[in-house]
Amino acid sequence: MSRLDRLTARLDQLYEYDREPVRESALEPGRHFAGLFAGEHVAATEFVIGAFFVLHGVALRDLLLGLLVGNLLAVLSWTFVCAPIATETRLTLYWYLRRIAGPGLTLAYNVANAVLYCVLAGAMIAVSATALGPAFSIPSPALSDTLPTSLGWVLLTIGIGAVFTLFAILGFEKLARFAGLCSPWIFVAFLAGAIASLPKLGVAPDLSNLAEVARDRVWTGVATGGQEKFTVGHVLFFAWFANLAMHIGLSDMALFRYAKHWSYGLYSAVGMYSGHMLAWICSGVMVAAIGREMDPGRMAHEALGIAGAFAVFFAGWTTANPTLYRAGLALQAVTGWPRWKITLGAGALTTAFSCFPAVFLKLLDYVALYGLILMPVGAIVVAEHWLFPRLGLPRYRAESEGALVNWRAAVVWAGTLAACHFMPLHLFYRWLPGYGLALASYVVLGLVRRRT
Amino acid sequence: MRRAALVLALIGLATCLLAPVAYFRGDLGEDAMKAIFLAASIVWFASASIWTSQAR
Repeated sequence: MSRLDRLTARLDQLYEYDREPVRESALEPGRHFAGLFAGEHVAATEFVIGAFFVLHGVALRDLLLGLLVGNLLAVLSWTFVCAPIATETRLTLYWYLRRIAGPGLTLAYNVANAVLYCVLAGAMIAVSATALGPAFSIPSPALSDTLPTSLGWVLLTIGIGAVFTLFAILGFEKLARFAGLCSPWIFVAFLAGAIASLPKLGVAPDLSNLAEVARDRVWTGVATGGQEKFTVGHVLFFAWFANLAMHIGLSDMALFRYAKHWSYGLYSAVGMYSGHMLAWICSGVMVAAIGREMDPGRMAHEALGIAGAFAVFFAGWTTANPTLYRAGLALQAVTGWPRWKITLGAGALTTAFSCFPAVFLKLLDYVALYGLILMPVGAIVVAEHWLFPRLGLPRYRAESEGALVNWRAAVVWAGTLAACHFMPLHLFYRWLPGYGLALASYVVLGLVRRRT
Repeated sequence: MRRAALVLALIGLATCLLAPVAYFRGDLGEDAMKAIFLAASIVWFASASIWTSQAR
């Protein structure tokens, strides 16, 4: 047995519990999906993303139009791409991809996902650090900083990372319960923070000048020094791809395999329009009220006092924790270490990332890259699930031939990423032609194979 | 007990939202708003914890 065989066998053991398709009796009602989406998409990153739109000089009209349409496209991606495949197969992406791409490539996908998760959790820790920093007289990094700014910042992020990791080791379930309590409160904190910031921006108590203030003092259309100017296209595409790995990348098959009908994808609108629209607007208002300084902790503290700082800290904690858990799960198979040890390893890696302010100060680019890297896998699955039968091509050849790696899928994945790298387009726009390219090239390779 | 905890939790959450509204309308000072928000947050966490633990 080769090392790759052993690794994939270990990975299979880890995911053994969800190997079988979900049974009819285990299907969940729609409100379950609405609650999940509402909780998951009001996170620490929302404090950063909405604020960045202000710093990137998005105009009010562009913001509203971009968020309305972009989030609608995200909801439609869940509804018409992810949910139908999930309800037809009733499998997680892991098991479905294994049939299509082979266990070796599925392992590579898992490792890539784990490392990307660690960077994301690192960003959450850094955001939490901005909330606790003032208590220890540690200033938050400036917008242009990419490397650790001070010993104090490094110690603070290491301390927070250590605590988050410790709690992740001690028990995911208890923290998941705590996260359940936090999520409605954090959403209210976003709304409350924005409302409390309005007087500082000069909004009259009768709201008569609200639109004027929003246009002239918040979403002015003028980018802060050193920041790229964003237009409606940037906002629209960002809102669409913010969860690209989940909808187009199909990782939310794990969720929607429990849906009674593919139309349950529409419940994602609850998370999109509360978290990715309302919360982003609220954080935009808060950052404008502190003079457009990218400091999530200070933003919330100025608006709501100590409880506001805790809102940022808890938002970081409750979202970093499941992210750490997922990263640990994905890496466990590769190392074969026990759960506590691999969570410790993932936590150490995550904490190391969090010391670098770039992980949250370049968050928009990172979110774009994260989705882009995993997107070709979604295209490969879509091609094999829907297009292959229509073209008379055999499906699941990797499974039927017992191949460890579907090399056509590997070539399409790597080739798509290489093509995206050289595309003369803004990073935000590259995934869409890349998706088309991955879809077309995988089908073409399937047709070529049939001819030969 | 469980019902009372839920009602109290919802009141806490609503107060978290009403305090900044009152501040915005000029009915409440900034420090008072922040103190009320903190107190209401504590009420939310305490009551919602009781509610969820009893639900289990």
